[in-house]
Amino acid sequence: MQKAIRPIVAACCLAVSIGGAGCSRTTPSEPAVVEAPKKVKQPERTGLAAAIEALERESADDKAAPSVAIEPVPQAAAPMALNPKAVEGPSPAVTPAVAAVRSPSVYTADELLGLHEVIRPRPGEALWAEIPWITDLWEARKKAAAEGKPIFVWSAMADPIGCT
Amino acid sequence: MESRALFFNRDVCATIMKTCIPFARNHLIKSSYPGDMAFLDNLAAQGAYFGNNMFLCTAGGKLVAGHQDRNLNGWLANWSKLPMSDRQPGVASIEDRGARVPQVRDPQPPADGMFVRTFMRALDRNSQGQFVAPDKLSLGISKTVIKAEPNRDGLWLTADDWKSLVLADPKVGDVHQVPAAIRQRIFRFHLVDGACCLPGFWQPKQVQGGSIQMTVTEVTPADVSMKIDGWAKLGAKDAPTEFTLAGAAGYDRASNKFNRFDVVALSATPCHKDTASGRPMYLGIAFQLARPNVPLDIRTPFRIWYDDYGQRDYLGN
Repeated sequence: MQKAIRPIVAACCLAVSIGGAGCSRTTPSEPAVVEAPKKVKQPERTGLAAAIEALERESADDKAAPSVAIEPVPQAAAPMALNPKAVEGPSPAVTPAVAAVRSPSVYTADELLGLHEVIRPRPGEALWAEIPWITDLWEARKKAAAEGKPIFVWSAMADPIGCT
Repeated sequence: MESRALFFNRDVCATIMKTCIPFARNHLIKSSYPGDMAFLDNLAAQGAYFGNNMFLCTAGGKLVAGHQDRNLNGWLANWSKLPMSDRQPGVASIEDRGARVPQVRDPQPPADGMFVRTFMRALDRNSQGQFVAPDKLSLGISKTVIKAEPNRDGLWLTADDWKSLVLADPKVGDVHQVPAAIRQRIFRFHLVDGACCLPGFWQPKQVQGGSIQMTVTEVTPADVSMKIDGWAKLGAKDAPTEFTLAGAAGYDRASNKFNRFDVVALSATPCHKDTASGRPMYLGIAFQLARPNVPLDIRTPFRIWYDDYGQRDYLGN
């Protein structure tokens, strides 16, 4: 796929510098012509990528991680919604919607629409989305003051709860 | 996408919800309130980094702990050591944040707009040729593998935009071409590969062709149902990427609002290779109306917040 104009600045990944190469492509890119935001810091390398890779290799009996460590721990259990109201969409098991080896252009509309469920987030798939994020700083501050709680800030050079 | 991996641990999520006020922000979007920016500047002066980061702070603006140790228990321990004046409910006073001074980098959703969520997912094909959503997702050049989920974005339609999709006197079989401005917006900014990272966007000259049409399938006193189909050819003339679109829309005649806008766009050829497995991945994009009364469903489109020209480029004004 030929590249669309891609972000010039590193913006989306905690430990990945994009530099116009977020995803590997099969064809060369065109030069970007849209000026990128200026004076944007590169994200720090946190070693998270390495941590995740290490987790991928860990054996199942490795219980070293503290229970609330800010580390990715793959979830093996069945989804258990913490906030059912925030869970995305219906919950049936996702099954392939298109059953034959054909070019996508020859699928029927119903077959393609069946992929909607395959593409959308599945319940339990995005735990971060079950957290009731506040996006208005002042509202977050007032709520934190009223409840006597710290503010957990999730900030990114992208939309943490949108396109990132 | 990678920072979302931090929330794979359900205990972390539960602890955040129980003990903290969760606040998410796009650092490329500025607040139009001077008080908000002063608060953030104060945190930055204490060493807070807003690029891609997580940390705790007090309501009054004291930095408590950062991501360096990545141990939420440690962060909360730091919080518990603060004086009661910082922690006691109802004690900290929050100053007024001042009058709103609209900023270019603080785009607001169009009044009476129609807001659609978009989900971008890399799809594999199994041995039977079926499209499947892999359990794991590898991220760009780092080849980091995380639990799969779709990336997200928002499609914004102004009041004039979505009203242009409504037929005055619909009859079954009527075919309505989606106006060029909406079609171009969908093609250029939403048929893009953001499955693993930020997506980028197409230039106008890279739209080689395409159409989207809506066909009325049912008319009742209460509703109008339509099917949606279309195609797009995007990229270089000699090697374009083709997408097929299909979907269904519903229009509630009492409220004069769309109550359904489910569309799928599927690439005809693989859009990228999975960096970990090397497997060619197709791109599936699902569109769905933002849920009523869920403000967080209304996300500013990537193209709008990406740079100062974004809003004009996206909305054409």
